[in-house]
Amino acid sequence: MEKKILIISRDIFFHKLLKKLMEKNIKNCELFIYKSKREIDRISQDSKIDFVVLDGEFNSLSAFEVLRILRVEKRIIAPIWFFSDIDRKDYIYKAYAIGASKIIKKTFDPIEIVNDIANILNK
Amino acid sequence: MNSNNKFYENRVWSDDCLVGIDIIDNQHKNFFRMLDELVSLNSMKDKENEIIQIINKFEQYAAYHFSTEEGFMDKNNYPDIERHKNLHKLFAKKIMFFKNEYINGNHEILEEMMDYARKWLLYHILYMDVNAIFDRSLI
Repeated sequence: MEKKILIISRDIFFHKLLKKLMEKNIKNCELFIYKSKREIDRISQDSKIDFVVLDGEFNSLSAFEVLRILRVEKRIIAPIWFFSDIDRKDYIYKAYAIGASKIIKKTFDPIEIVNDIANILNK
Repeated sequence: MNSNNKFYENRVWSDDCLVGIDIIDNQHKNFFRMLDELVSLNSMKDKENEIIQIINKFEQYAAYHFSTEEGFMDKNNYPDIERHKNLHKLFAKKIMFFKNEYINGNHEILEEMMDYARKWLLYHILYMDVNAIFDRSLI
């Protein structure tokens, strides 16, 4: 069965990078890209999602607010990896408290991260 | 070079990292070769002087490579050049910090430096270089 992965970021190069590496390195994955709040609103509640990559802020929404929407409103129980330039402890704790499964500090090794995601999905 | 090196030869480099411009691709590969040298030296005893020499070489090579890239960006009127130059400067500054720490006796920092350099270079190559600057569709 195909693994459904959401990539949520307004950064076109971030999508492009992860899409390319995931399509190459993760077997049977279906990728959905969300670039705005309007698109995030369209994620259907309780839909079967296997993994979420959440990158940063949107014009009208903080990254924490997106995280809250995903966990509370969209009821996503899949792992959500939260990508951020900020590595302050209070920021990281808050992200975990709201529901991030893992915080990835930019700059990261994209190949390593995609391999880690593949390992989780293949478990 | 030792075939067990973990960075360049066995794991890090792949075709995904190719930007398709030989001079840039070769320079990128050379960074990972230098990291490999550091991995090898770090596994041996009493190699502090050689390690400092490689870090110096790495620093100088970074300056050379960044000027090549910035020249390419200038030539192609790349719109985000100032931000990109700033990222280069921050990287150079961070490597200088690691080097000074190492010279001052904090040898444990070398692992951290190699990890930082590997991640920074890969992210920079895959995110910025392949996707943006050297993406022919955007030039």
